[in-house]
Amino acid sequence: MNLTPLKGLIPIVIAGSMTSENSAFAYNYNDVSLNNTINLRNMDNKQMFVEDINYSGLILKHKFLEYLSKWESETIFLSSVNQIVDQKDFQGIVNLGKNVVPFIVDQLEQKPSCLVWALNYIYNKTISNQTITIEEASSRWIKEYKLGKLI
Amino acid sequence: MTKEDILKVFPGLNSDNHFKITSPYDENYNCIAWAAIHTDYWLWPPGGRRLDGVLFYWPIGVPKDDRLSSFILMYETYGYTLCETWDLEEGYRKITIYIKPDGITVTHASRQLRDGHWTSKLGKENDIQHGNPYSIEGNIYGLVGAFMKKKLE
Repeated sequence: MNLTPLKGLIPIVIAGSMTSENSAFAYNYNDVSLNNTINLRNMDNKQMFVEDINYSGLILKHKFLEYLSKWESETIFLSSVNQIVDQKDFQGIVNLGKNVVPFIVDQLEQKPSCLVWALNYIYNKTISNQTITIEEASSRWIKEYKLGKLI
Repeated sequence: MTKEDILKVFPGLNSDNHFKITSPYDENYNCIAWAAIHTDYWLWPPGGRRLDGVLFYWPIGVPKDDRLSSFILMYETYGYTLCETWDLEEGYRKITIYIKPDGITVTHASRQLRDGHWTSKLGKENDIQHGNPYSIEGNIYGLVGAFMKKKLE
């Protein structure tokens, strides 16, 4: 499902047993929590709750991409490794933990990059004891992931 | 990144007739390594954590921080010595180290080419050529902090 943020709101279509006079809803990103509960308000501003819907992966990906975009734009010209990895959005990615590894790997497959450093943080290791290139490191992390070695 | 994108961030390049992009995007090295003519790793004082693609080596005896004095000592291990000007000197290669307005913290390094032009690796992005060290001064890389030179073999 593609979700396009629009002025702070993310359009959503909910199918299921929920009934309402209103067929279209929008949820505010900040109203969604990772415990699979979504906080909706209808046209009468009446609060509604929909539970047991697996939104967590979707939300996690959205959060990851948000952090990634900000990190890339704010560090694009920096040479200081320390500044790049201390940047708050990079630390935001790291703090999302192992759940975002599939998204990181997906990004590295599209383009080898310094995002590989997030894996160094999350797994607290480098992929090689030697100094290898970012490109080679990205390739090795992807291979480890596909072999199921990243748990 | 396009030439126009770069000009927006480094306005000094607008009046630099020698400015051009000289390489595609490449995240395998940074400007500090590029100034020392390395293109296969990032060079920066090691922090508390090992990272892939970053040379963990830092010369023994050189403080592991991003102060100008530490970078001067580091480049001295590559054979560079401090010099007064950025002018082309026959038989020498020169580099420029850039610092934040605080006068201490290193942000960037560029290197003189044999024809007198300068080359910079812009963070994770492209290499560029510029006509002099000053045309990339500004919000991103701050100010010219020091010139160093090395005798060519």
